[in-house]
Amino acid sequence: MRLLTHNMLSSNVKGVVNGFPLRLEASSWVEKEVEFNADFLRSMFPKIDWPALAGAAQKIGYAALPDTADATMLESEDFLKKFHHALLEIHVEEGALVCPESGRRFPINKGIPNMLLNEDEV
Amino acid sequence: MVQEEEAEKLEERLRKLGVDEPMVEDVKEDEADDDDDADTEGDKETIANDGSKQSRSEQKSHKAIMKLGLKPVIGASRINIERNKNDMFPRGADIRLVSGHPEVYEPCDDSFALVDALLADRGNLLNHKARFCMEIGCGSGYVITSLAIILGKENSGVHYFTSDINPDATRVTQKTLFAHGVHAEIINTNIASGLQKRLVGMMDVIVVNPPYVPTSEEEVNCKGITVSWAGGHNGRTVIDRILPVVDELLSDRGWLYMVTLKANNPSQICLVMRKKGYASRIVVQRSTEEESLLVIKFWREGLDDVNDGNITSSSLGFGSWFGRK
Repeated sequence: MRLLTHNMLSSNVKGVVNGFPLRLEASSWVEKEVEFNADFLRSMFPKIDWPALAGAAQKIGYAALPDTADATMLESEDFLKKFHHALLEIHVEEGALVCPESGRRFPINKGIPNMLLNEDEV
Repeated sequence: MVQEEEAEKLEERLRKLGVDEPMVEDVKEDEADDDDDADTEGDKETIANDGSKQSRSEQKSHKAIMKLGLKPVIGASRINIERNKNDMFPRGADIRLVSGHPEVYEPCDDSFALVDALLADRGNLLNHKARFCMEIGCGSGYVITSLAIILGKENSGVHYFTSDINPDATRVTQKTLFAHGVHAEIINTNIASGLQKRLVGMMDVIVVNPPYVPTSEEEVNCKGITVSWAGGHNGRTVIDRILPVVDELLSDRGWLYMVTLKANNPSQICLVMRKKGYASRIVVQRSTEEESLLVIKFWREGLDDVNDGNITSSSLGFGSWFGRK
């Protein structure tokens, strides 16, 4: 699971109002090179919740992202490279995503988050 | 620039393969033998485990896919090439490579029809410059892997998401994708639960081969492989859950390709989507002895120009559209 996906997932438990961002608990992760595409990053930037991305990256020891970001930073190649790395090149293999409101844990096994709910949670 | 070259190469390869043929196909099983270019080494074993033969367009798309670099390891029952006739377990050799699972639906006529539809619409798809694509219900991963190969790998800046409610299917899909050097973010979830809020309006292409077989409603709630086909009343229960989700996820220029069965009342599905503002057309139509399949493409009305000038449901009026071939 890439941090891009972490940024796109929110708690789907019935009754939860504020299910984003899910708190990332990662016990293992890998880095895989992905071809850099500045256009993609620029078009994605408005869709990304920056604090959620920076926070998740920090959880796995990647502290290079600034706490806040705005569109003017997209002119910096250096910024884009870091954005790219955090968003696409870090894969969480094992861990969990935790609902900030209910505390419900969604496990991540072998890189696949499990968002399935029990009957009483739907 | 690299992308354009790749796209050109793709076009060239596919031109050679003769895939630029009519969009709407109606292949009957009894026509399956007359394919004059069928006998490449890749097609020595065209008998599927269920005993039926591949139709012409299946063979064609399989060849196209294989030329695009898909190794003959998935869909072992249909694509398997070097099968030992004495092998008691003919699928074994291939499954070891990519992993199969008794609870995961293997690619079959419906999967092939969907990939054929993507190939038939390949020119439009390449021009579409999709940023995000998604498959809802990935099963073995055959379709999302094929889509990723058709559109080119990530060097073209396309990113893929895929979901399945069956955990075993997500594992098999992961292996299938990996074996072909492509990547999709896989989420084990019901339809797009958990993704719906944040991915609203972001998908440029969604492909769905839904559980469309008419069954009891009880079967819809079963686990394991049953969820891959059990469609409830008229095979519409799950389809009718998927459609509003797709509507949310699709971008303004987004396209949906969906497999349906005649028994699903596809004209009524098109009407439902039309009320949400979508035009539609049949990309592939295929009748086998068992079932009559349609792959329908949906897009938001007013964007007809991207569809090769085909007459659409919106311009023809529904009844006349649906009656045409």
